[in-house]
Amino acid sequence: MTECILSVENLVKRYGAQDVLNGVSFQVIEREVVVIIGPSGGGKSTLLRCINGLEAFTSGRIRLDQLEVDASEPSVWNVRRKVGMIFQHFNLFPHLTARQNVELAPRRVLGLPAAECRQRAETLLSRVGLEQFVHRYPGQLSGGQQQRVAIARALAMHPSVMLFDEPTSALDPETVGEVLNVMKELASGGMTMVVVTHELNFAREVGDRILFMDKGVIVEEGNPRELLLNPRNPRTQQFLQAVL
Amino acid sequence: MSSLVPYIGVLIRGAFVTLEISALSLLFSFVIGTLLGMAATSRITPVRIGVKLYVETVRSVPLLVLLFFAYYALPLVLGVNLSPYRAATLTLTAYAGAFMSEAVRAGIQAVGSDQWAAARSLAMNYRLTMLYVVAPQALRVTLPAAAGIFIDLLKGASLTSIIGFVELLQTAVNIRNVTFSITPLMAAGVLYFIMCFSLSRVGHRIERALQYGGH
Repeated sequence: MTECILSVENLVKRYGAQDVLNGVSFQVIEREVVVIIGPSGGGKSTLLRCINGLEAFTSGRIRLDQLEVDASEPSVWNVRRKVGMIFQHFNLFPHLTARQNVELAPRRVLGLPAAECRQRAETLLSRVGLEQFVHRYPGQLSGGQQQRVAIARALAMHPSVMLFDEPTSALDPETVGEVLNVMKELASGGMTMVVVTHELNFAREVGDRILFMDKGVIVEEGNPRELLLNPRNPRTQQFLQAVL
Repeated sequence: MSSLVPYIGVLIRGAFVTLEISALSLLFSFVIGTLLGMAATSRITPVRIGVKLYVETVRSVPLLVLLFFAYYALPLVLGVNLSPYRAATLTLTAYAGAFMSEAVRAGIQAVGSDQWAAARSLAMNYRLTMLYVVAPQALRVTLPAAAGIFIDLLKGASLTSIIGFVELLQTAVNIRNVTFSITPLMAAGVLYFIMCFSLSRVGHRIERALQYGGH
């Protein structure tokens, strides 16, 4: 019996006069891969940032693994320990090597012993295919390599859920594949993932469910293969026609 | 020129006094500057405004006026009587502190919000983020600026002679009054140059060292 690990209910986020999120509701069960697509400014990034408490929301409810997500409460730190996030621009720490990037949080946040953190960092970097690059600085790595380091860094905290905010949008087409492969591997390993992306093939191959978001609401959701072939809502059709 | 020889030791001691007061002020102003620089990026508006007021006031008043104020006006205003040494150090510290806080603030703000977002998503709190992510990167901006502030301090220290503090310049003037030669003043100029130029070189070395590592 797979449990619901993430639940978003009627999420509203008002930013000044604008409604960035206008009543978003969905659930994610354990080991599920949910892909979110849609035009820019539709609220997809904001939604992710609300889930791990990076942004506060105006009303609604987010529950993660029995924890209530409230960016203004100290409990939000517990949420952040369980959620890993991958950013469009990698956001690696430029003054640290790949291995130091990965071992920093387990060492200083979780307080694990240095040797263990080092070992785990090397294992994770190996897992994403970067064992040769442990001593390189982000400035010496390609975009695809940096993003893979970012994934290893997030994995080091043993998250229950991984959020991906357009992980390949800033990459050269040649390096997109290497990152998507790592993500596919994560998915088949049973990681619960919420992925905002324009990579519709990824959605088709790996996604369990796809959500189409526009103007702060979920317009349509369903099985990736079905929705991408036969969108029912006209807005979805319009978007997919422009993209495919 | 030969008239200068017996006075070289005194001049060098004067240079050391200038160095000492500048270094001391630099140290204190670094502490103050760091605290104020961090406060300048605070989310609490009154704190930010307070810091801004301090910085703008100190930056808008000539150092000479600040020195006069510390030595002559403070006793009247606060009933505090400071020796020239103390008044000089206090003023130089307050003066450099304002510039230092700007250097720290600039350094912190040079580290983009993306870094904070990444650290936060890894459950790193303010203290951990500052310590391991932001400060190391902020130093790349702050340290070169700090070297420049130190050089300003060294030159500014020469103004303290106005409140009776005997440092390099005053020493040179005293010698001139005895020997009726301008050579000591020129020697003082050379010593100032040596100190400031060396610091400038150190500053460049620091800047280059911080570039290493593929930043």
